[in-house]
Amino acid sequence: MNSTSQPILKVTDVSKSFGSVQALKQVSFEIFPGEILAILGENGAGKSTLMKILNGLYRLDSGKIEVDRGWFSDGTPQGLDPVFLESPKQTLDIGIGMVFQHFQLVESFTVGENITLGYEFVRDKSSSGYQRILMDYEKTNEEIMRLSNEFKLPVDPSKKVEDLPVGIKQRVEILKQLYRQANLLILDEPTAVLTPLEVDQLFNTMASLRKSGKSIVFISHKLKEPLHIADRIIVIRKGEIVSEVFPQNVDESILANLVVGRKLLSRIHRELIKSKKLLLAVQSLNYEMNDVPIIKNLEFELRTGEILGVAGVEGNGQTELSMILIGLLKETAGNIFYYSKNNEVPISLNSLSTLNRLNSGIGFIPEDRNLHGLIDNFSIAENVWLAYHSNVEQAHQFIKDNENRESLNKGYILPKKLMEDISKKIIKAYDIKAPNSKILTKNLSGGNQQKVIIGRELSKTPNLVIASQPTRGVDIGVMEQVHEELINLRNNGSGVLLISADLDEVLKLSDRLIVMFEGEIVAELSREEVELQKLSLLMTTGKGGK
Amino acid sequence: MSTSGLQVGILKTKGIFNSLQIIFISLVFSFLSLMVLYFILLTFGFALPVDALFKYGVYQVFFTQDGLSGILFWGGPLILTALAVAIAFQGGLFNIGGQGQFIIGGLAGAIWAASIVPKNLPFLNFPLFMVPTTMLIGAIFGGIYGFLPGYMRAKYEAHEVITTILLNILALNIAQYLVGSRTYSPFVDRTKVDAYGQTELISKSATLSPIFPAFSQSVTYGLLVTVLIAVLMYFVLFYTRLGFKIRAVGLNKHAAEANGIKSDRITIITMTISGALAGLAGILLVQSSSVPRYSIGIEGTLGFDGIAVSLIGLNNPFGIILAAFFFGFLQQARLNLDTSTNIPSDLIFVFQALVVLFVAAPYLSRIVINKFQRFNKTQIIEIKEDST
Ligand SMILES: Nc1ncnc2c1ncn2[C@@H]1O[C@H](COP(=O)(O)OP(=O)(O)OP(=O)(O)O)[C@@H](O)[C@H]1O
Ligand SMILES: [Mg+2]
Repeated sequence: MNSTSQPILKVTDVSKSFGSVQALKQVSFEIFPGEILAILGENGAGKSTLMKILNGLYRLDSGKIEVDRGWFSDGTPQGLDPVFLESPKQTLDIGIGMVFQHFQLVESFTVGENITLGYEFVRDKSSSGYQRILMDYEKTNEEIMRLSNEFKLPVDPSKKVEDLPVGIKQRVEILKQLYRQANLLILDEPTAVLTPLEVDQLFNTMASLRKSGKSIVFISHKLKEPLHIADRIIVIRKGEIVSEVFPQNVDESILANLVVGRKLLSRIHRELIKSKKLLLAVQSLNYEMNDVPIIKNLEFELRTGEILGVAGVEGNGQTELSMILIGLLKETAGNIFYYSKNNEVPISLNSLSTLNRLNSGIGFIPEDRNLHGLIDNFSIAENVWLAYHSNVEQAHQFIKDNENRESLNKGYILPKKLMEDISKKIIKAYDIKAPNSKILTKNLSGGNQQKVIIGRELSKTPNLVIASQPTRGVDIGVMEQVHEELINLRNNGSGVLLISADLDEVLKLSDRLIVMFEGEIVAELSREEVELQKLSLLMTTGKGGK
Repeated sequence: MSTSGLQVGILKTKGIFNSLQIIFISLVFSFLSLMVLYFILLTFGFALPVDALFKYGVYQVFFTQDGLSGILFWGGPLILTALAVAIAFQGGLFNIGGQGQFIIGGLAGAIWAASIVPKNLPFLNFPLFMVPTTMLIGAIFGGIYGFLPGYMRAKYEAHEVITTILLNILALNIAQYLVGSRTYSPFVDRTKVDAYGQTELISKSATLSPIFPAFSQSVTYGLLVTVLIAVLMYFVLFYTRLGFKIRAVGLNKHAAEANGIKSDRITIITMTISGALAGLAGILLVQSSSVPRYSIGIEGTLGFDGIAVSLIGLNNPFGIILAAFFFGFLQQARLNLDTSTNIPSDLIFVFQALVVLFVAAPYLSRIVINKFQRFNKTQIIEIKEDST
């Protein structure tokens, strides 16, 4: 929209490598005042790397960055000056603020303390003695309320961050950057963790920030979003900018084509399953934390050849449900029965360890990949091995290696060759962008980390999959692939419990749907019964069912 | 497969090179601080004899048999106490109970070899049996003493830092009870007037003989055992399924549990191994000394020093061997200077402490920096390409 005006930031021929991996190749682009720029691209394309360079976290190998210091300081353009971005503190001083996907908040601090952290108000600078070291909470709150009103970002400064839902935490992060007077905001996959409602609110915020003259760069894997909110879209592939388009000139399928470089075909084929057998039965399940009921009298069944979607706004007990099912949390009351493969008699999961649950054919894709999924400082091979560490037999089955079977099957030694073979197979199947399997997963891009988890869990061809936000952070190509595989599992007689904040995903995959609200199931709908409006209402109010 | 094994080997042995780097940097710093110290002393009218410092502090340590044997003698036990700290670290635990585990291991093994076997089972009193069983008893009792805080951590969430500190004090008292008094201690030689505070001499058949009889400090085959154990620990940590689980729990307990690893059990196992290593350090010292018995206080600060050694060795067994011998060097240098120069021994202690401080500081600061600026520095991929 502002293509006629002068850019406020200009990137010229920026390259960046990590060892032998070239993350960015001669990238050039500009950011204009008061625009929302969307950056799209596959997993590992280099989006986050580019943003981290703008934020001063990473240093570029070669290339040039120029900023308009005049615009950044008081809004009057002065022309571009070359800068050498070397630390987040320095870029913040210039006026560039970044909100990471992993929030950088102190959980036990209040909203106010978090926002002003590092730039606190003290009682009275001129006073003497202990007065100088006391925080001025009144002034802090005043200032935050002012910002919060100005940008229409309602928060309660005295609330503790740990008690807030994800969407509000993100708001706090944005306020923190605004408080520090950022004029260019960088948001790395801001919508990945949000519910549809929260996404709408975020977009409202972004629009109002744009109105007040700020510029925003954001990354997303959901093509609808840039079409809806961005002024300009840049697509990166394999470290290079491959196209720059304006939303009014494109649609979703064109964008998809640009991102993955080929046509995306949906090959989902939902077979009709005749004989469905009971797979999982949850009976009057209750869970309390510190005497507060989180899950109330949950009651549902999952059958073979079925994908059961769990819809609901995050924080209504879904996370706890998945943790209880895998044995990481202990239910307060209730029964869980599970029929393992070729077994007519159900086993009670209540008393089973996590290990035994996993070994009886349950796969688990956790919601928080960095907490429950991966060990950051382990290599890909080691992280894949996490899923097989007590089941070497299965690992052999997966790579269909019968020769080395005897020698490697037993014993105390880590089967490095086997570990490498399985992980190589997974790297290949999911096109994980990594030079080899010995790379630490902390050095992978977010989406590629997720692919490691999905790959290893589905490689065990589980009988039952508990999948929480399985496609969070993966690109559209991979999402399609994961969807196909979940459907294939279903077609082959496994069951999937799909917990996802992404309504499109739930609706696309589920045979049946339960809606959770405040720890209860407020509705159970078959695929055919679903109406979007009704569903939204159910999710947000718990009412509106039949 | 062999090439990949080698590559992993290179990656893991990084510990050595990084430790060398740290030691080098710290030596430079220490040298600088020594210069400062030198001038401060000069202003007080005390001239440090620089040539004597070099002669006794460096030359005689590295280039004489006595000096070298000192490095090995003082460094040896530290390898084990540091390994004890390291394996706990790898499992996400901070074992500062090395002192106590050392005492219990040394005490138990000494009682076994000095009282129990010679008096009750004399027919077993021959080296082939006594040497290994004595070591084993030391390790087992040290292990039990590590198991306790491990168990308390796993089952009752009692933090191991607190429990091991308490257990250290308890260990001192146990030693005091068992060998501290002439009137009530069961394992002292009551026939002698001044025999309290120590066990009787352990049976000759349980002692370890010197590798180089000519050396002044008795460097025994215990050192060989120690180095073997270090290599074994390296293997266990990085090449076995148990080591995999220990590291997994240490790096991210939640992810480990979500993938079916029983972190409680691993915590207990880790602490038990850790205690066994410290206990072994204790009994090996007893078996190696020229007057082989356990006496109260022989542990000195070996258990605590293990923490510093492990830190400098980057919790990597090979790095630890290097760091332990570096500490051995410092100790020997101090002793040399103490006996051969008129430099006040307190001053030498100060210098020794300075070196340790500088060794630990760069590493500590690196930990701190990494913690707070996790994304700040570009992480270079550690292995560039796949050789296969
Ligand atoms: N710290 C690092 N060390 C080594 N390699 C890295 C590091 N950070 C990123 N890379 C590599 O650089 C490439 C680009 O990563 P980047 O995180 O920028 O991708 P991305 O476009 O953000 O992907 P995603 O959509 O999955 O988040 C990847 O191949 C990744 O493995
Ligand atoms: Mg990214």
